Amino acid sequence: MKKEGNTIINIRNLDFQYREHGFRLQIPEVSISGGHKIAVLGPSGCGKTTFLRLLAGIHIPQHGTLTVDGVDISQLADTKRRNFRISRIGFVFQEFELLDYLNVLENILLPFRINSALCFDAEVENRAIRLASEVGLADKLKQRPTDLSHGEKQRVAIARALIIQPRILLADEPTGNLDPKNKQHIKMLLFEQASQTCATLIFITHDHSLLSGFDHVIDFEDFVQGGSQ
Amino acid sequence: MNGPLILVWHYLRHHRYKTTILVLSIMLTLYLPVTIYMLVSDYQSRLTARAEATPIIVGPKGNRFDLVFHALYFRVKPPSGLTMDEVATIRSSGLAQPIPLHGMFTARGSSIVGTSIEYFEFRNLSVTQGDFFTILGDCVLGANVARKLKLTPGDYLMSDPTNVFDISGEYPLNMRVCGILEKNDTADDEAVFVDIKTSWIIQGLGHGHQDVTQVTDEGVLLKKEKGNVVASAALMHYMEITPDNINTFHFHGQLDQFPLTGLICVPNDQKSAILLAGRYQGSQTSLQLLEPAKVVRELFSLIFKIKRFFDANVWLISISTTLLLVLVVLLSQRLRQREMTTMFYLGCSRGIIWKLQACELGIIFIFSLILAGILTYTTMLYAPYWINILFANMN
Repeated sequence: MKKEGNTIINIRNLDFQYREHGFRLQIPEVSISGGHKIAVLGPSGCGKTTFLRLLAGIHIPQHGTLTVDGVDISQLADTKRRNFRISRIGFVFQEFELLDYLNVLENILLPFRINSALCFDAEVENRAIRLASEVGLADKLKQRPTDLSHGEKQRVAIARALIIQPRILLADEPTGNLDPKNKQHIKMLLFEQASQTCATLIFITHDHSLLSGFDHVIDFEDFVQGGSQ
Repeated sequence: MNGPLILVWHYLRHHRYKTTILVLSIMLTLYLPVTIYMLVSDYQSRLTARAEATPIIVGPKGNRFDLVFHALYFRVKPPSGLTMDEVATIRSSGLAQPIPLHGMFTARGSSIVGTSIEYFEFRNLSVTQGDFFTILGDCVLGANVARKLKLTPGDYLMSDPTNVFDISGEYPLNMRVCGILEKNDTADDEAVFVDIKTSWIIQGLGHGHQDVTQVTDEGVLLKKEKGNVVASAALMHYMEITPDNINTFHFHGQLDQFPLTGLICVPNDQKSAILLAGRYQGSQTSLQLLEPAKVVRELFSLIFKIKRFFDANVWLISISTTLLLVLVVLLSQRLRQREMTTMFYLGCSRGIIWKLQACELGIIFIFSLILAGILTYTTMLYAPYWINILFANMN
């Protein structure tokens, strides 16, 4: 999986442990090249989500180095780490995590509503409309999440993740709540959007039927040291 | 509107029922104790102001609260025992100016107050329409009575019959409205003022009837002798005083023995007030002299001891409502934990998350405050009217 040049994620001797329940994740060495599509495999509780949180700078490793897009995020202060996340990381969740009180367009624009570091203007709104169109929701901009199917909700979540034009797209089991047909659609949509924006896609799944098409697969069973997540 | 405010607006609009309930709950929690406090203060100041503007009241011995409330608000009939000769006695003493009050009857629910013209001067009352009464049978209406009954000068107002089965009792009198008083937000707005003699006519102490010497109907005449005519009850009594029949109105008995229900005294000075008070001390007199301000203060001291329990009750309810609202907010935050976590993942700082929630609560609180303010303002605007109604219904 090592690749010279264009490395966007570089991990060396990473050691992270939750204070509350003692779950420990150790990753000796991982390098991910920019623009690649990475599948992260592993059973529940093996640290996949923790890995994404570490990449996003939500958790800080106790030991080792974690470089994302050339920045050692463990060295950043809280505000800088958040700004880093805002500008470079897009999140897609298993449960979509859309806000019921916002319509589709407002949900896509959410990162711009809650981050003063992001500048909202007409171009952003146009981008949101274009993204909604690309994920097949052009005619549902004014609808609320409660009026959408699971597949449509996940499309909104993908558009929301892409609105900030991230360098890295973190998808935490985005197909976990979908039927087999929608699973493939969502995966392909993520592939397509990641390719268009040259974003690196980290895709968590434990569904082996979805592994085709990824550049690399990381199996997390190897990294778990003990405790439970 | 900036981003967080847009989110707050969307959230509050989407959860409009929850927002409305919260706004109403907070509004009531603010409105009730504040308005009750203001109303009670207003009520107290009005009562005290009228009492303090009335230096002395003389009346029959008995319940001092009844006497004071009768003389101030024309409600609560005091025991009888005061007669018109007390007016002459006080006037001749040179210590005070006496203003007689005779309030025993009503006209379409409003108290009829028989008094002298000095009463209007004493209370600084002026007329907005017409003039004060000058002849028997005229009445001056308080502003609210005129508005309520839609009467103007020149109209007529019938006094209420006290007992329809007692044909020998008092007859209702159809009074001519001669003037309307300017509104002054006191009990005067709710009263019908007549000359004291008119009031006695309503009581049946004076009357007017057809000239018995001209009556030829044998069913009416019981006995006709030289210089003396005796008629039956079938003789026609006038129920309205007009220029044509005013001369037939007359009183039976001594005017100075006619009853009063109260007497307002305006002493010339402090010394005169003390001297006058001395005359009514001791067991040999059947009358009492009261300083309304003292009586009202005494009443308040009694009422406010009880009011403390109500105040405590209001505060306890307010505290429990506030605690319930805090619980609702905390539970709501707990329910929205995932939403907050998502926002945090999307780069929202914890400060902005707190700001969002604070904005939501702030907007709800501001709306509640505005509504409570409008309601309190409206309540206080109409408070004098409601307080007058409260007094009008007090018996």
